[in-house]
Amino acid sequence: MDPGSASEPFRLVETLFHRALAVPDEERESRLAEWCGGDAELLREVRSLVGAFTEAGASGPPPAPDPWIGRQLGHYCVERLLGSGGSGAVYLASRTDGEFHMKVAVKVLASRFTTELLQERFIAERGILASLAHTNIARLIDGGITSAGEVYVVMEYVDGPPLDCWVDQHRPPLDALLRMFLAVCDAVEYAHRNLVLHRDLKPANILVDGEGHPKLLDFGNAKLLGPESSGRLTQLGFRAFTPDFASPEQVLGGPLTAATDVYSLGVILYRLVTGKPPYAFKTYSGGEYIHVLRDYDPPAPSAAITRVVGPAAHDAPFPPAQRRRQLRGDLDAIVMKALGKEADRRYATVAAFAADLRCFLEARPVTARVPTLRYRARKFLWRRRRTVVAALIVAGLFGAGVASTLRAARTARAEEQRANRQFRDVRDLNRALVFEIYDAVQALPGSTEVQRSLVTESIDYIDRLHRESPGDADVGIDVVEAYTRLGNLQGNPYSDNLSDPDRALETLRKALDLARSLARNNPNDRRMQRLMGLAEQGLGEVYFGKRDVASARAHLEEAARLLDAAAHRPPLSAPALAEAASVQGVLGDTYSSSLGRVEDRAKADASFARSEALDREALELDPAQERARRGIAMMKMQARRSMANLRLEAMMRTKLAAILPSIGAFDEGTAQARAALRVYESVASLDPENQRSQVDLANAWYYYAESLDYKSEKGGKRDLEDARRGYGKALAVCQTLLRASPGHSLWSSMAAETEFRISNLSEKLGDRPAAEAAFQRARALAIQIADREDAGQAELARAAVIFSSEDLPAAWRDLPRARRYAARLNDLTGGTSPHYLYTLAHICRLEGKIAEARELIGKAEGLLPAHAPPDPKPYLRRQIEDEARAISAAGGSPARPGKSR
Amino acid sequence: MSEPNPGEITQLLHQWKDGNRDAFDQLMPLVYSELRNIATGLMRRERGGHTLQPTALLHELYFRLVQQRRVGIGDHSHFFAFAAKLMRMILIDHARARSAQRRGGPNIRVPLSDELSWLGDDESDLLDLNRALDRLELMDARKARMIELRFFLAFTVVEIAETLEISKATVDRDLKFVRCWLYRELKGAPGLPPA
Repeated sequence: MDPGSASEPFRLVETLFHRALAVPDEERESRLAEWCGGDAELLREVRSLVGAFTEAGASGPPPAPDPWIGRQLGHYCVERLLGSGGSGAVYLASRTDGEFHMKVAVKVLASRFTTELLQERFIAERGILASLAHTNIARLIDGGITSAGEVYVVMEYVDGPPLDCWVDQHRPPLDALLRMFLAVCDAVEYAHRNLVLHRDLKPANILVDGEGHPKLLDFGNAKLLGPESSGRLTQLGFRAFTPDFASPEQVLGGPLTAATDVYSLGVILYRLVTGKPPYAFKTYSGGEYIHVLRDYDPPAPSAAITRVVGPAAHDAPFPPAQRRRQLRGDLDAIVMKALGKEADRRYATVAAFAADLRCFLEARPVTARVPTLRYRARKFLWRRRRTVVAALIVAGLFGAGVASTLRAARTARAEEQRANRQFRDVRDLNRALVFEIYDAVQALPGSTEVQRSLVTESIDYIDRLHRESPGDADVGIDVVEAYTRLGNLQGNPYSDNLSDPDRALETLRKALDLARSLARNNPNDRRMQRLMGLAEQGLGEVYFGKRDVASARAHLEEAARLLDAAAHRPPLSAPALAEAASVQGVLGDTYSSSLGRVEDRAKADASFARSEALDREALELDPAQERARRGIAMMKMQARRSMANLRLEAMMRTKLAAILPSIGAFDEGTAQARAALRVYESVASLDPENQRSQVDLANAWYYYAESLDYKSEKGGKRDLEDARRGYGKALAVCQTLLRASPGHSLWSSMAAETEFRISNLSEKLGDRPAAEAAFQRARALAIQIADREDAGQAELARAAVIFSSEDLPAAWRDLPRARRYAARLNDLTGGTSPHYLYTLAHICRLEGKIAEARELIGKAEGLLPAHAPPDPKPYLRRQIEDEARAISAAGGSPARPGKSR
Repeated sequence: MSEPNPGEITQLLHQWKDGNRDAFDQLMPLVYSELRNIATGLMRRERGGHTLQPTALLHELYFRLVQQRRVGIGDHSHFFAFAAKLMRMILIDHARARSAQRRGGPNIRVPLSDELSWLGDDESDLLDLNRALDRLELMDARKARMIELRFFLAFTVVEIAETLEISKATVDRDLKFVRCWLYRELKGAPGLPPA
């Protein structure tokens, strides 16, 4: 389906609609009249839509006057809306009796939300709040049910901004901010002690009053735990949450415990101390939540604080460098512990979380650091004890090595020799780290954090290495390779990666830039071509993962060119050829992923084929090249997959093309058939011996012609001619099929039908000789297939129609033969098919047997399913009704047999 | 909502990977049944509740297929458009059955988006909407796609823009027009005698 296809008149109406709304109200009428010229229909159309806009509004109906405002609820008069959300709305109200004046917040359950479940929850919230009395929790004051049965609660009104806004505005120093946060923790802890989980903790639910006291509100999502579960705050709850602050178990489904609120508090603290959330959701889709919450570890708070430069610097809520220093270490550990993906890795209680924060404020050791290490150690030792130890030792050596090397490099020329030697050592170590240790660590479960820190440290190190040794080609090559490798680890969707495509692009660009500058000095060096190619490939793959297909293709095309060239510079090497093959495969992926464009499919096929050819070349050089062997298998699969998808899509289009004309959607039918044709033609040309491709092609041509044929009742001569040409194409394919298997009943039947259509169209076009020739061929084929013992219903029906056509000269008819076929059809179906009864009635009418025709058509009509008027009339019903009318018309004076229409 | 048996799908996906084309054909009804489950969830869904959305479940389904690396990352737009259409079919069939039997089955809350808040909750309203969408489709297929994604899968504007590969501004503009067009089609032209 072509998504951009809007019919011309509709597009005009739309354009005028938007233009009309853009002019001031008072000018609209006159401008509209002017634009529409004299077209009253168009004017009416646009005017009615503009009217609908005023009535329905830009986003639904006009805001009805709020029925709550001005209402008296108990002692309180509702004044204005404060906000609305999840389950209801909150209004500002004031107590009016006597001299006593007090502002309160009234929460009501909006009428359209009054499902039983929500009412229950609402009432539960009231019960929960009533049981809580804490300075940092908005107090419950009153509540009731109106005479109309609406429930409401009256709460303390907190006149202030949400916690995060307050912090952004007031920019408190870290210790003041933490003390404020601790007050929130106390409130949550208090609720937990009262067996209440909040489950929707977020800054918007924590307001800060004029004196700087945070107040927790909205227990609408809270769960009151029954006494039976009082031991552990565990409850499998109704799933409702705010994604940014929800814990993995809320998103993924799991028991909710006090640790759930700990997690949300952790997110809030992260946001407060760094100024940004730990996760930046892009699409807010379920898949994304799941992916991010399960697989992505946020950077530690100190790492999340980025350098701010330029005019924005003095707008920063805190001096970044200082804040980074303050967070690094203990506070990082505390926040990350609260954000543990598994509940049992977090603080078990809010009290424990708060206690650690207090330790931090008092500069005492925090508990967060030790257990995490132990936990990690346990996880690592679980399977690959030896590798882990090696990794940790190397990581430790590595840090020391860099420091001493850099120091040495800086000291003096006199020590150059020694520095160089050490430099080499560190380079070797780096290679080991990047290329070997990482692989080992990557295979370990739960090692994402270690991987991330290894990658970050490695990049820092390589940056320095690069700066310290400008112009050294060998070091340059190492650096490019390392950047490419690390960039891919950061976010290349084709390998296991750390899901950070933006950083990946940054690193890969460094690789490409450096590779290019190296290549300038060594233009004929195949190593440089290869390096550029691999960096381009990385960039292309990361872009593809980001769904930026255009950028992906540009980089991959370049990568394919470079790697192909590099692989073919002597001496040939199997691994280089396999590399070139691999990038072609990815390029093919980018083309086969865009649906509906045959040119792209052809490019995909070309890439897959090139990939396979390169792999074969590699195997000729080295039969043991495993990568090439795997590549060939994969390309075969890819080509098949893309073919299967393509066929499925084309099949759907053909089905649509067959159906659409019967509901009057001729143009759409033609468009679908044309799209299917494009696909089938390309498939058939790739695979001309395949019978299925040919049958598909014949069908597609047939439906294409048919949609034009039906349309031609409304359309003109050109449609008729196009339709005839289309049937001609279908016929040609049928004839090819018949040459391969002469007398095949299906192809013969298709050919007969197609010839018959061609004959009809030729007659309409006034081309009698062509009509007659086609009819004779149709006739011969029809007799051949319908006279067989085993002739099926479709063949018989087709033949009956061919021999009783009213669209062709009466002399060509053979009514006795048509009757024989129609009678047999009704025998086969026991007279229960409205379609065949109609066929026989039609023949009777032509024979002049009006009474019989009338009886038959009545029977046929009675067998039709009921028709509900607004639905389009099914084609068969229309045919039958037309026939019934024709029979009535012929009623008094029976038509003479053989009378032309 | 019952979890489909992921093992079965994985197995078929593997067979498909190994070149078994029948597996592909068997996979389609399995996706269909998952969509049906999501639709059943829709019928039970409370309006406006901040629950895990059906959209999320759909994304999860797709994500799972992607994670198996058996569906390409680039196939998302086709998958979602297909799912929206299927979802519309399922819901409309349900509404038809309900209106024919005058009983049975849970009530459906469609459109999912509150944009057509003036549309009633009756089956007949839904069937009217369906017919209007059929008409819209003949005139402007892209807008019909958009509405399907919006109403039957509760896609956000951003998601629609990504899926149809058009800008967010275009989606906003198109939705504004279609909202009015549907209002006019279903409620009659304001201030004018109904056609």
